[in-house]
Amino acid sequence: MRQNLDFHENFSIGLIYHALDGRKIHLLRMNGNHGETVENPLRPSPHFGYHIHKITPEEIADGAYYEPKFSQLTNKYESFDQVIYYFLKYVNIVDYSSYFKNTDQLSIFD
Amino acid sequence: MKEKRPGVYQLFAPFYHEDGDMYDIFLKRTEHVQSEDKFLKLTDYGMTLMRLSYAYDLDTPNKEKILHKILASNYLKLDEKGRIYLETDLENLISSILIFAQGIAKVSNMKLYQREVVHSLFFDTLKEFIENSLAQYQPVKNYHPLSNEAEYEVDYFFNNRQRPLYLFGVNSSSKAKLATISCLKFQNEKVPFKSIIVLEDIDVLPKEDSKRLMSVSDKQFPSIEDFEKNGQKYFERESELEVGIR
Repeated sequence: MRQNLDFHENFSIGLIYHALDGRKIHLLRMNGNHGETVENPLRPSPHFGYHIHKITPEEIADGAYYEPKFSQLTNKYESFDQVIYYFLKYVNIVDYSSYFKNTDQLSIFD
Repeated sequence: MKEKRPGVYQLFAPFYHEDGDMYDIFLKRTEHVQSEDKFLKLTDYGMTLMRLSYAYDLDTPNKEKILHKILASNYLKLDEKGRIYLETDLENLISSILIFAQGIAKVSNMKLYQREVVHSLFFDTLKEFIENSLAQYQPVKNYHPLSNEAEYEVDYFFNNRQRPLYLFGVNSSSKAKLATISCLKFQNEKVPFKSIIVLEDIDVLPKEDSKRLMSVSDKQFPSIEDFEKNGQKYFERESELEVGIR
């Protein structure tokens, strides 16, 4: 989990799979509204806003484990607190409230 | 450019990370003007090191040294909060932006130094050493001692002696298990051979795998570096030993 100290809307929560053979595969990353993102830099069709990167089977087959290219905009969260809650439910963390206190409580600013 | 905060402008330029996210480049006036010339500051507000930390930790003095070397070579500086920056002026702004983007790319690529990438190069390194330094012992790659059982494979077979040498490269738990099973199988089938295990790094192999491997094999090199350093001498001694026996 990362959040920029200067720009609180620039944050990132990711899920990494640690394979037995030592590979670390970045399955998913939920990003804040840090700027522009494109799916294909050679044919940029930029979109802006909160977005989620997900790895594809093709990337896994190619050994491209660290920078999942597929991304889609989302309106499921708009703050760091909200993304934590959404992420924990999305990836199905069991009993997450034991580890992340007060995640279910939205702040008055949400 | 878009104003991100009062006086801080985010640059929207076609510089993208591999996942399609744009480079984080911001422009602002310098806080403390050292000279009248350089009054503009390009900065990433710490986003480059934040991204790098997803896959790579700067957790040793050596890694920090490499980072500082990359920054210095690309005319970049780092402040106490991990923000990369470059001070410039209006006249040199375009070239400064290009230099800044280049520097960010190089810092971001530090993740390629991580163990997993080095790990994937193990067999390339092993192959290169064997082909360059042990060619006289006539190595044969991917050898199957049991003709009807192709699932038992030896990475390198050296048949320049009465009792051939079977070399296995081991860089993971699964490879260790495979080498152990293969050695046991060949022993059960009374195949004449001497086994050599070259580990990528003995410290990262689970203890149980290491113990089993040690129990069945004849010679182990605990790391690829050790094999590169001592492998040639080992093969020379083995050849002399065989000549002595004859």
